[in-house]
Amino acid sequence: MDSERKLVIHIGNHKTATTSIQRTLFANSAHLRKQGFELVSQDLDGSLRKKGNIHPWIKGLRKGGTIHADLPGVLGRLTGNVILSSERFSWVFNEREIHKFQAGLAEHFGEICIVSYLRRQDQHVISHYQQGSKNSNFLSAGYYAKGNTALPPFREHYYDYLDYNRRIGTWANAFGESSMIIRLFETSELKNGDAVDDFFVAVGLEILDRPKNKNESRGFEVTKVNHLMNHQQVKQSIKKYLFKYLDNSGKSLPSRKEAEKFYHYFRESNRLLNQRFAISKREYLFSDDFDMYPETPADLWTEDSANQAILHLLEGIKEIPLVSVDEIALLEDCVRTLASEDPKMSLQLAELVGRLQAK
Amino acid sequence: MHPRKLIIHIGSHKTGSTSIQSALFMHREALVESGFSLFNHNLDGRQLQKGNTNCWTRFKPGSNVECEIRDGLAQELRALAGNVIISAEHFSWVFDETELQRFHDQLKDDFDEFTVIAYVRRQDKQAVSHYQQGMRFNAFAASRYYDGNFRALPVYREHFQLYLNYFQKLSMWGNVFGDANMIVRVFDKEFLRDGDIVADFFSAIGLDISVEAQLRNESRGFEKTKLGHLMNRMRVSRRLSELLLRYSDDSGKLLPSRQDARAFYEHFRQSNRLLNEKYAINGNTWLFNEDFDMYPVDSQDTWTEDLANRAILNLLAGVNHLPALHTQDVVLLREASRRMTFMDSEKGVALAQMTMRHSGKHIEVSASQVEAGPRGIRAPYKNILNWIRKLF
Repeated sequence: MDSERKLVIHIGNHKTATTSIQRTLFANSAHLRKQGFELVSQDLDGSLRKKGNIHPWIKGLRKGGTIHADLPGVLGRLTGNVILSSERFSWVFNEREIHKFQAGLAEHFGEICIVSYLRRQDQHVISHYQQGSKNSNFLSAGYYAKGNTALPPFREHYYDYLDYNRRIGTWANAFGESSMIIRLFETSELKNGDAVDDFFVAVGLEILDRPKNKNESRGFEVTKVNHLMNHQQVKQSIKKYLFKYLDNSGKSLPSRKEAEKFYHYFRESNRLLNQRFAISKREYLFSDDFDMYPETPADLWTEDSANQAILHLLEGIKEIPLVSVDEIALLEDCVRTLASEDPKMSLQLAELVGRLQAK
Repeated sequence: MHPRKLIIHIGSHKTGSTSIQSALFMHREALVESGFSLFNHNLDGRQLQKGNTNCWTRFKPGSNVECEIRDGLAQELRALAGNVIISAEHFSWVFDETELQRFHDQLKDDFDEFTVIAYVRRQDKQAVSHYQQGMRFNAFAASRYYDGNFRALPVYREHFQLYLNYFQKLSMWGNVFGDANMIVRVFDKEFLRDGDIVADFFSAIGLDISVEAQLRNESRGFEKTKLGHLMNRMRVSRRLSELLLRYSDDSGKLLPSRQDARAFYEHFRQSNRLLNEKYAINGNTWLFNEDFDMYPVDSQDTWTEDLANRAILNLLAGVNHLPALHTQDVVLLREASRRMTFMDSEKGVALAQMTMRHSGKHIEVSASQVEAGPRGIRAPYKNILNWIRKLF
């Protein structure tokens, strides 16, 4: 073990400006090197990822994340201090997995720092669940209960992610409480009200370049329809037409009462986390302000909003190029022409024709 | 010599016209035995396989809903032997008395007697049913006439008086063809002979033709009706709307609230009284039964969270089953078009163009270039292949 070497691991959470932090890390990788830190951005095959995250190294996500066994060795072979980031670490719920990771890293690093940003659970889930609507392949799309309201209905397994005392506590158990930097993703708590500034101050590094942030939040109609598209497994090649006219304004929000009720499941765990790490002066860690929510739910269809959404969908559907009867006849011609010269391709085309005719 | 008679059945829409026309067609031989010819020619003189001759009306230029009667119709009717019967509910879209006068003038020398028969339905029920029919596909005049919202009852507008003020509309026919020649019947089981529209019709025109009751329920469910209206608004093609609606739910009913239905009906109540006074149709002062209990207290014609989600999910299921090409299909066609080049260059080019159309790209190859054969199309074909290569 090299007792001088330092490792910084940024583990998320999701929806706490991780993309902005990672983009800034990547844009400043040369400057970080000057400060003695190597940013890890390599893929499993050793090639360079043009991103500041190491997502491919955390796998098996739907069953609870596992960290690639080679990762500690790969990090160990780098020179100097190392910094890496992936919010996918937040999907790792198994204490043994984290202990195993720690054991592997301890062979190479004398000081390890785990940085985590936490967001109040109701706000976190609204944002995370909305992200899941973007693509059915996102783990968040499968993690939260199916539906298209702003907050998914509560499920017992949400504790795996959202019981911060248990999950963050697991990292602390493995790496030591003094290794933990736990920050709250709340404007009033962040340096300059900004997560990127806050992160670099927290880890003691300077940056020169600050890429522009991308606001990726989505509007009411896009979010709700997107959830439904995922449910129906609409193909990406078709989605591009459907999205074209969907409205991206407005916000899908639960009622204040619903948000408070959801948050209540985790309030006690937040208090325990704060008791253990003395993160905030507030007993329950986060602000108890729910004024950002409306009195009545703003995440349900009304007559007008549903009509508008369907009209927008239809506008996009009209642009999907459909295979005409003449084109099917052309394909059938090609099936016959290719039959002797290229029977395999002829068969593939015949299958396509069969599929199109069945529709 | 017997006086020659013409019976004109003018609708209204949604009052069993299709059943009447089917019965007329099915019993056309019996009609002949009774001295009547059913007029069922289309515009080029061929016999239609139905008793509906809506094709002899057409929408006035510049109007989406008001019809005029085609010039040749009177001549066609005159050409038939003996008494004649014609049925076309599109006559209900004729709002201009001079148009009727012109039609009458073309007929009066060849026919000695006229009977105009019309069925009327209480206006709230008529509008709910007719507007729902308008969702079928966007060619329906009803869709354009009532267009305005996507609910069970259209929002009342002044021009509805043209169709739904039965006193005003049927008086025009009475003025032209003679009030004594008008038969006005109420489309309500309570008032129909044997509760059956077809039996009532034959009885009303004095023909003793016994027919079995044929009730056709063509009403659509909540989701299909609302989606149909939205598709009409977006001018979705008939092919596409049929493909999409295959997956839509057809249960439930789109109904206005009792209060809304009554308010709609009130716009026409006085005219109904005047109509009954003029033609002594029945003993009800207001002509129709004024029971509104078939409507719920609260309207059942707006989306709820669950209904909207289900409708969108079903719509997306329809989208998933559209005959469209996906990425892997385009890859296959790209390869196939290359392969085809060496075997049949014309088809190779056609396949390449198809590939590009479905990839959202387009390149023109003129017919003359394709017809010029392999040498002539070499250059554009290379372009096409280059385009295809760039697609992926």
